[in-house]
Formats: sequence, C-alpha cells, structure tokens
Amino acid sequence: MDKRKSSKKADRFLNFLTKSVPEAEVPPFFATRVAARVRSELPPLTWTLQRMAARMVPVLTVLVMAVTALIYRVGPQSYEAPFEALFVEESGSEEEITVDYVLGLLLEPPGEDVDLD
Amino acid sequence: MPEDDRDLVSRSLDGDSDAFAKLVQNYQQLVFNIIYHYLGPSADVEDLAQDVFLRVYRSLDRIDLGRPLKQWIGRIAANRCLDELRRRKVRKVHLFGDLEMEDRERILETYEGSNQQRSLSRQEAESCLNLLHEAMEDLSAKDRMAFVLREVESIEYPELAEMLNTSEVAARIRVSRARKKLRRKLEKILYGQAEVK
Repeated sequence: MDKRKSSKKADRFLNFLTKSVPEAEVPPFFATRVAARVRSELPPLTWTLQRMAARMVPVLTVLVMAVTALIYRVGPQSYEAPFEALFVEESGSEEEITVDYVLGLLLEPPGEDVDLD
Repeated sequence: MPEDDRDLVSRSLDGDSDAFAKLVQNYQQLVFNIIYHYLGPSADVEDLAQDVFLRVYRSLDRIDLGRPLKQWIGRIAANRCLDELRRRKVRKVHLFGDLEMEDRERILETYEGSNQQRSLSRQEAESCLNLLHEAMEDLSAKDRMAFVLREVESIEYPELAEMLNTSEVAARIRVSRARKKLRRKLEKILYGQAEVK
C-alpha cells in the first residue's frame, strides 16, 4: 500500500483510539472520603505555624502602628514632666525680686520680724 | 480563577471540609481521567487520585488565586503520574498488560465497523485504551503526558503548557513527536507487522 495512504489510515486509527477510550469511573462518595481524610489529618507543625504567622501579619501591623502613634502622642508630655518639676523646684528655692515684692516688704509693719528672744 | 473556586479555596483554608469536598467534586473527573488514561487500567486510580487531592489541600495556601485552579490541579496530577511511572520503571514493574491477539482483532473489527456510528461497549473501549497504552510504551514520560492531555483529555495548548510547566511551543513539539511515533507503531499493527511482546 502507498506509504502516504497507510500513514493516513494509521492517523485515523489513532484518532479513533483516542476518542474511544472510556472515561474513568469515580467511585461514589470519593469527595466525601477525601474531605474526611483531610479533616482527620493533622497538618504538619511548620504548616500550622506558617499559617498562624501569615494570619498574624495584619494584626501585628495594626498593633505596631497603634503603639507608635501612642508613643508619639503621649511621649513628649511624659518626658517634659520631670524637667518641669526640676525647674519649679529650682525657681522655688530662690525668691524672685519684683517691684511688688519690694513694696510689700516696705509696707510690712515693723517689729514683725523682731526676734522675741 | 472563577469566583466559586476562589471562595471554595478560602473556605477550605479556614478549615471548612465541606468546601474542600465541593472542590474535589468539581475536579475529580479530570484527575481520575488523567491518571487512568496515562497509567492505564492496571493503576490504582483511586489511591493516586486521593493522593493528588491531599497534595492539593496541602498546597492551597501557596495557590495563586489569579490563575485557574484547573491548571494547578492538572499539574499536580501530571506530576504525580510522572512520579508513579518513574517508580514503576525503577521497580521494573511491567507497565501494561500484554494485549491478547483477540483484543487486537476485536479493536480492528470495531474500527472497521466504526463508520456505522455504533457506540462501543465498555469492554471494547477498554481494549482501545489497552492498545493505546501498548503503542505509547515507547514514548518518553513527558511526551506521553503531553499526548494524553491534548489528544485524550482535549486540553487546549495554553492550559497544557501550564500543566506541564513548559512553553506552549515545547508542548506542541511534544504532542507532534508523540503522534508521529504512535502513527508509525499503529501502521505496523494495522498491516500485520505488530511487535508481539
């Protein structure tokens, strides 16, 4: 037989075979069984940790942002406070001399500071 | 990825096993067919299919939701088949049963009479699969996979390339090479020069 003809016939036969193969038979409840197997299977530890870490990323991001914002808002006041206290104490130790202060001294009745002893 | 698949994947990741069962249901026929047509009737199709879906489940968190799930599952099934074939070859397990002469004759008779549009019985269809397997035995593992996915499962080349993790051109070359070899082998069968094992 002519080579081209036999090749064509073989090609048609190949097409016939590929179109004639049967479908695989899926057993009933296969999907349910696989799902049950998945449910009973303990996931590997690394996989669990990975998933937990992946879920924690947004929470941690929000937490870090919130803490940063708090430090920024509360921080300056709390740092000022001790210095303010020091400043007040230091200024309190020295009497401030003003015009009113001098006038007050002058108008004070004499003898008030006299030592009774 | 279609919205339904995306929803099923995210629910499965949240531990909803019913969602995963639905996902398995959507793709079980594809996976069973790939295994059955690639490894043949002697393969333990159910066990291998279960293994494929367990692998799918374990890799759900790495899945690219922008790409179709079909290709992803098809690739896992194809890789599992290639592994299985390698394992069988290493263990020198005979891949496919010898085809009886009667079987060949029955197929040829069926083929000659196929113009009458008669539907094949299950047994005749299985004989066709056996003959196809006998013919495919000399193909390389990847050429055989490309051929099965394209010509038997009717998967389009872009999807096929993704499943084989290769380019579309390379996939076309594999299918064409496989066809050529199979044609030559079938010519021998048709004209009585069959290599009887």
